[in-house]
Amino acid sequence: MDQLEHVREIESAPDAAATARIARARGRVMSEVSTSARRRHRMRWVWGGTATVGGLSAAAIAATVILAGAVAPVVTQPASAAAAEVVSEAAEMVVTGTDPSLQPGEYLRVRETYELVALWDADAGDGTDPIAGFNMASLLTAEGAVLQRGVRDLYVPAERSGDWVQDDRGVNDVVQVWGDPRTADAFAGLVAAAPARDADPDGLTVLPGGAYQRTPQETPSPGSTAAAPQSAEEFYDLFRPFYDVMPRDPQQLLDWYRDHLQTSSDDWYVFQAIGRLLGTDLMPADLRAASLRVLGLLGNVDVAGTNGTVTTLAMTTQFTEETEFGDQLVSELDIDTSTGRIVGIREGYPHRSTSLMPAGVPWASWSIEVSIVDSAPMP
Amino acid sequence: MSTDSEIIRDAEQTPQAFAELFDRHAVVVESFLRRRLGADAAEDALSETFLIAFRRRGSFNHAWESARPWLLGIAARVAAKHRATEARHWRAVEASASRGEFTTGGGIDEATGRLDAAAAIQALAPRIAALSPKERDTLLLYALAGLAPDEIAQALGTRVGTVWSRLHRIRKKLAPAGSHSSRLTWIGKELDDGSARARA
Repeated sequence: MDQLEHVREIESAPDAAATARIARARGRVMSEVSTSARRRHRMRWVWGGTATVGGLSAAAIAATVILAGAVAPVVTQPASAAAAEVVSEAAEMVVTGTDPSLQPGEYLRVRETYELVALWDADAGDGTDPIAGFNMASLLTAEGAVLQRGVRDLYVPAERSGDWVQDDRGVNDVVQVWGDPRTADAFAGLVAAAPARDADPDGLTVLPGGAYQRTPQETPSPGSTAAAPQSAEEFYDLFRPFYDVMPRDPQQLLDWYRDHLQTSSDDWYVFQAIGRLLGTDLMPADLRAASLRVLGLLGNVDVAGTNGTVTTLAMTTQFTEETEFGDQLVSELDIDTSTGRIVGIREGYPHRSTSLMPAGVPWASWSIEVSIVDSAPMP
Repeated sequence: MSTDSEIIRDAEQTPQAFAELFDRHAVVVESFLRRRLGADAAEDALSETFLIAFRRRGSFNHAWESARPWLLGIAARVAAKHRATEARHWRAVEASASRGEFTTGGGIDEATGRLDAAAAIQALAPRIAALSPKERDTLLLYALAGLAPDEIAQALGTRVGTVWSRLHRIRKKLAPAGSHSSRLTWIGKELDDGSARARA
C-alpha cells in the first residue's frame, strides 16, 4: 500500500455521531439563511437588534416580508396635522442640541430591549427538527407561539474612530407561550440545538470605528465570471458614508430614503427604518431633524397617544388583499419630544387571526435606551 | 433533478433552497473537516463553511455543475483558520496510530496490513502537519475528499498544473527516507487508472 492510500485511510471509518453533528449544523445554517432572507428584503440591519435571535426573529419578521412583497398598499392619506406638529417640535429639539456629551474614555451605550413572537409548527420538517418547527411556521398552520424578550447593547466610544462593541450575550427570556403545550419544550429544544442563536457566550463583537469586519473573500477562480466582491466598508450606522450627501430638505430626503431603502411604495418601511436610524443618535443632528420631518410627510401617520414626554405616532398601512396576518399593518414609533429621540418601535397586525394568541400583542417591538457609561465589555 | 448550479441560482431568490445543497454535500464536507480538525471542531466548521457558501453564493461560477469542489475549497479555508486545532488533531492521529487505535474504513487487510498501516499513519501524521498550508489543502482534498486534480484546482482557485506539481512535491515530502521506488509506484498507479492521462 502506498503512502497516499494510507492518507486516504486515516479516520475513514464511518462516524456514528456524524449524523447528529450534521443535523445540528444544518439547523444553524438554515436558521441563518432564514435571517438573511429577511435581511435581503429589508436592508441589512434595519432590525439589527434581532440579529442574535436568528431563526426566531426570522419567523417573526417574515410576516412583513410577505406583506411587502405580495400586496400593494391602498391609496394613502397625508399625515395628520397633529403628527406633523409632533415631529416638527421634536426636530427643533434635536437642532437646539440635547445630545449627551461624552468625556474621553466614556461610551454611549445604546440598549435595545426587544420582544418578538415566534410561531411553532409541530409538523414542520419531519416533526423532529426543533429549528424547522420555528422557521417554517405560518400563522395559519402554527400550533403554538412564543413571545420572547432579549437585550442587546451597543457601546460607542467618545472617539468614534475607536473600537465599538456590540454585546449579544444577553439571554432571551420566554415571556409568554400560547397554544400547544409542547411549544415550550420545542422552544427549549431550539435553544439547546442552536444556543448561539439565543444567548451567545462569545457574543462580544468589536467593530473598529463602527465597521463590521468583513469575512475574507473567497478567491475567484481564474476566468471566473463571478461578480466582483464588494469593496466598501459596512458600518453599524448604515448610511454613514452618505451623511454628507443626504438631502436636508425633508421632501428630497424622503425621496432619498425611498431610493436607498429600495422601496418606492412601502412607506411603512421608511417609517420603521427612520425609527431605527434615529434610535441610536448616531447621525448628524441636522440630518436627524430632517429625518423626523420626513415622518410628517408620510401618509396615514397620526398621533396614537401621549404618555408624559413620549408621544406615539402610528402609521396604518391598509392592504388590498387579505393575508394570514389580516389586511392591516400598524407601525408605531415612540418619540421623546423632550429630546427628539425615538425610544420605542412596534409592529402589529390588528386584524390577524386571534385563534392562537390574543389580539393586541405586537408582533415585534423594541425599546431603546441611551446612556453614558464609563467602560465597555471587551472580548 | 436540479444541478447544484441551478440550486444556487434558486437560492438567490429563495434562500431556503440552499438547504438542498447542504443536504447533498454535508456528509462529504463534514467528513473532510472531521478528519482534518477532529470531531469536536467539525460541527462548527461545517456550519461556518455552508454559511460562507451561502453568503458567497453570488460568486459561484455557474460554469461548474457541481458545487462540491467549491464547497470543499471553502471548507479548506475554514480549516486553515483553525491551524492550532488541526495541528493538535494530527498529533492525536499520530498518538492513536502508535497505540494501534487508528480507525479506518476497513480497506486495510488484517493483521500485518493493520500493523503496517498503523506504522505508516504514525509516520505520516507529523509529515502532513508539517506541509505548507497549500500543500496540505491539496493533499487532503485529494486524499480525504476524493477530488480529482482539476476539481482541486477549482476548489483552490489555481491551475491544474500547479496541483500536479504540488502533488509531486507532497509525495516527496511524505515518503519515508530512501523510498524513491515507492514514489514511482504511486505515479505509475495514477497513470494506470487514467486520471493522469486524462487531466494532465
